[in-house]
Amino acid sequence: MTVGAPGAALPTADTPTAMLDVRNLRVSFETRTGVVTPVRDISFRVAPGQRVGLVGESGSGKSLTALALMRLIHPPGRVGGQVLLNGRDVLQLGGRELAKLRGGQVAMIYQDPMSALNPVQTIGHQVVEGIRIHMNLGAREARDRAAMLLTDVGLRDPLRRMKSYPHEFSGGMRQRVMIAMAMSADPVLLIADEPTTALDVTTQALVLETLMRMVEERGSAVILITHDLGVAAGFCEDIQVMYAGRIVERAEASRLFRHPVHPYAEALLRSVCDLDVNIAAELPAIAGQPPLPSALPSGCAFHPRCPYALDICRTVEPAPLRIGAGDAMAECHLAEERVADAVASGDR
Amino acid sequence: MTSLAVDSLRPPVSVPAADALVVVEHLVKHYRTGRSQVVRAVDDVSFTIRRGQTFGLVGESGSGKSTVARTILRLHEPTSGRVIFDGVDLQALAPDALRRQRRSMQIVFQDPFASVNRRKTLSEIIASPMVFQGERDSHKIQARVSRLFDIVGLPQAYAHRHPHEISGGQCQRVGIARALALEPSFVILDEAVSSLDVSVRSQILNLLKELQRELGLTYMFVSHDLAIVRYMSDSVAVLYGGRIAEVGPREGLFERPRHPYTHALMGAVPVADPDRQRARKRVLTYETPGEAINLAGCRYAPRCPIGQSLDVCRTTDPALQGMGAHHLVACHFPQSAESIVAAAAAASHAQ
Repeated sequence: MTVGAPGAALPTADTPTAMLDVRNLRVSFETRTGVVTPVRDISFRVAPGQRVGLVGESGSGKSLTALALMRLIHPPGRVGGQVLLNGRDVLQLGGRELAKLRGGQVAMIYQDPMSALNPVQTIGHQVVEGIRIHMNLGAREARDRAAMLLTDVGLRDPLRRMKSYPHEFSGGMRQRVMIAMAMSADPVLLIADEPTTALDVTTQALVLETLMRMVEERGSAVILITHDLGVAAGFCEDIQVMYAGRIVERAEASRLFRHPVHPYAEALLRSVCDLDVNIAAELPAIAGQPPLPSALPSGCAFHPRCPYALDICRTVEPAPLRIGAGDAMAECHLAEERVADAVASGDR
Repeated sequence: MTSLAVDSLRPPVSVPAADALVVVEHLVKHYRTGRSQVVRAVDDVSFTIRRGQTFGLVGESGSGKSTVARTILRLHEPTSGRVIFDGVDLQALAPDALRRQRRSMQIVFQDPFASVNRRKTLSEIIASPMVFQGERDSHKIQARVSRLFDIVGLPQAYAHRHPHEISGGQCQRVGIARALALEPSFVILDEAVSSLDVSVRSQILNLLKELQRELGLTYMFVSHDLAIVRYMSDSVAVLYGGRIAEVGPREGLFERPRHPYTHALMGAVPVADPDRQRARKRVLTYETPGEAINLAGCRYAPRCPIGQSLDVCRTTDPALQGMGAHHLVACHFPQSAESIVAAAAAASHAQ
């Protein structure tokens, strides 16, 4: 276990497997009352084909992280740090290279397919357009590829459905179209921002299955952004928990759910209400409210809500602590002893 | 299995009259869209809510659950059917009498910010039902507002703040305080925690249960989230396409669900544990290309692993039938998850 300097990137031996290497990513906005920084120097890596969940509550900075990775933060917002995709810094790319990257090597799916699709163009037109931009295909070949992709995501009779407009589709079908568009150029990385949050729960399960199959077939890596720990648990190999603009813990999904190290991750997991929750007992809740980026507490940002907080937590920001193998880490003054407790209790 | 077809005079769940606070009888709400099209948002829904209990209404978007909620309060006029509240037929009430009656029936909405006047202070928002009902004594109002701040756990110092100065969870506490201002006996919670983050949602659910115990409230808890409905409710109705698919006491419904849709819903709730997630039983459901609902037979047939290939499901509307104490299901083949999977395999094989 190694402890790094506060706020610094994780001390890592440069493993060759990192396809995406995010270093000290920072998103800040200048406001009338000063600079606020909703994403505070986060670092993480994604291996080829790896599915990583970015879990947090509203205001934690998870969506801004996604936008920053795609260079979609516009002034007055500012982005700092490095986003290395196969060694090239996305934050330094010129306009043309960036256009090739978006929808090509890196694709994105958003929460609301209705606002991501153009309501006055047919589904077919929109799917074909993306394919022609990124794949250098003729009109006919592009149409065939579009039909194939739409069949792949579960649309029956795709040639007929391609003549439909978005409003003629149900929410789940629209999100399937978004998946087809995102996967049309076989991206190495898919960023999915709350892709099923607007869907009904039965539809959500079906759409997630389709998404899983599509990315597995292509070997695409995924960053899945969600507030729903259950969705992340079912889809991701690794999970990163965000709080107040920092990644406070990263762990393999199964380890995180059995032995969360960070007290916030633990509290978040406990407050999930699922079908097995004890009806007779009170639901475990986290006291207080998540902090605003403009009014962060001193020291560890979670300390006012943390049941284990010590004096040091109020004054000193904790440094990331690597845990075991891989990229697992936690940012908590108590991490070392909490890991030891987990070891003592027979885990790992 | 005895078939208790819906009797036109009697609600299907029989509850002693003194115990029933809200009786919904054959509620129908149709909306006209365009010249000849009719959306059957709620289509013959009957149930009884017992005093001091929580009745859960669960369904996906378009199931009609919010329409049921609003029609009960007569925020929408029903197309037909009756709602009897504390022995009074609400449909028979004149506007003045209805307004007086509404003191005892309140609602908390999904979006805490959209349902308050942003230009008023929190204390004005919470006082507004009292003012609206004709209370003029400002000392009395202030005392009550201050008490309500305590009841819902809002700091008194927030009295003069505006909604934009507080968080979503705190704003929902304001919505709850406003609903309680007139000391109602019945509160409808319409997706009241759906827009809140997990950590805050648990606080509000705990608060709602505590208020129910202390004030003897009766709730109707409307939500798309099956797990939360299970946690909150004593009885649950599962709504699909404007119809009750299944209704019954919580234990029976969740331990032995009978409708293929209830099975599909339960299997689709994400579990925050990868190991438990993998071990779960899943009952298949299909996705339809549009929003179309089957009107001739069972509403769920186009998505049902059994009904999809069976004539009886596509053409004959199943009546609610009894499956045990107060447990009713509207399905031609009410059964367990294992037999649904087996029956679906047999049906597709026969096809």
